[in-house]
Amino acid sequence: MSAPWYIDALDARAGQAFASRRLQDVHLRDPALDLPCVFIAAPMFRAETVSNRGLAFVGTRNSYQLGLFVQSFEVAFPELEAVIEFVRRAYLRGGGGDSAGGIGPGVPPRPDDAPEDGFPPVGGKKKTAHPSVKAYSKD
Amino acid sequence: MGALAGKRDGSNLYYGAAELNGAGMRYYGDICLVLKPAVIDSDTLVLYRNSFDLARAPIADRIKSKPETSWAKCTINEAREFEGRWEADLASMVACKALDGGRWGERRITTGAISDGLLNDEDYLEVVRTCSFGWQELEEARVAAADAGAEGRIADRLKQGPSPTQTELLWRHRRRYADQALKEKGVRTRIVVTAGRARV
Repeated sequence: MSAPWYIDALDARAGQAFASRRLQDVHLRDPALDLPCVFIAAPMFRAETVSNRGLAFVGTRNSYQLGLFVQSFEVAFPELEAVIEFVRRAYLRGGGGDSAGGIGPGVPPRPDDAPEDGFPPVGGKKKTAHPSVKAYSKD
Repeated sequence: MGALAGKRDGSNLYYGAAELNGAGMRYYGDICLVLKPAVIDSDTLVLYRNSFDLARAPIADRIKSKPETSWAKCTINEAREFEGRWEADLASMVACKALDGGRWGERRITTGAISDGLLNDEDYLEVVRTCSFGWQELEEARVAAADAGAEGRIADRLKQGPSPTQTELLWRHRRRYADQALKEKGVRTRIVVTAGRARV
């Protein structure tokens, strides 16, 4: 039986993740970096190979969370397709407005109230800056 | 990294990449935010390679071959081997990286070739800052042509069909929002068509 897939790094709100087929090791001091790793990203969620897991760990210095745990155990996925589906669903959930301790503070408001492509505007009437944008603004 | 960047405790370190004409490291976000040269301190730490290479063979093997009590010191010494500073060393580091392997021979080296050599897929010069930045410090924002094309295709399908998926719509919606937010702050967004040239 082949090893399961694990998520090395996950940015659920961005719909991006790194995953690899391995033993549970992201919690160790010296995880094996030179293993084949795949990168998954919105909007297509197609896995692409990257050279090693170093890219994933670099991401955890930014917006990525390290691994995916239930209590102290990493969540194992039997197939890569299951990882992809998890990342896709997490991305959609992050856009659904889950402020009660969930992935993100909710879907960003529309850029403007103007009709888009002939369609009427959907949702938000008042334009407010998205929290993630505010974090980078000094004013 | 903290020791090299002047932050002994390693707190408040911000990692970026040196970039010339491209759209940055696509693994860490859709939009590449380019800082104004004037806001980068001359002694900003630049690394010839990804700092996680310190934890990989062969460097990690060299460090672990020493007594465990000296690992921290050995790691700093290894890091100093590919350490440079923004003003004093960046040009030389870029030249070394772009010419690595002597693969150019007698052919003319174009701006595109230099851009490709500077930041190529997963390979880049890491820049370590000790402070964050705001929109006032931005020179411009860049997006990859492939992403801009995908965004346009989603918009076209929204109008003409077949309907885009929910994830595609969410992805495009967020990109449009970010673009609008940058526009409101007077930060222009450029679409990078090739690494050698950029178009508005």
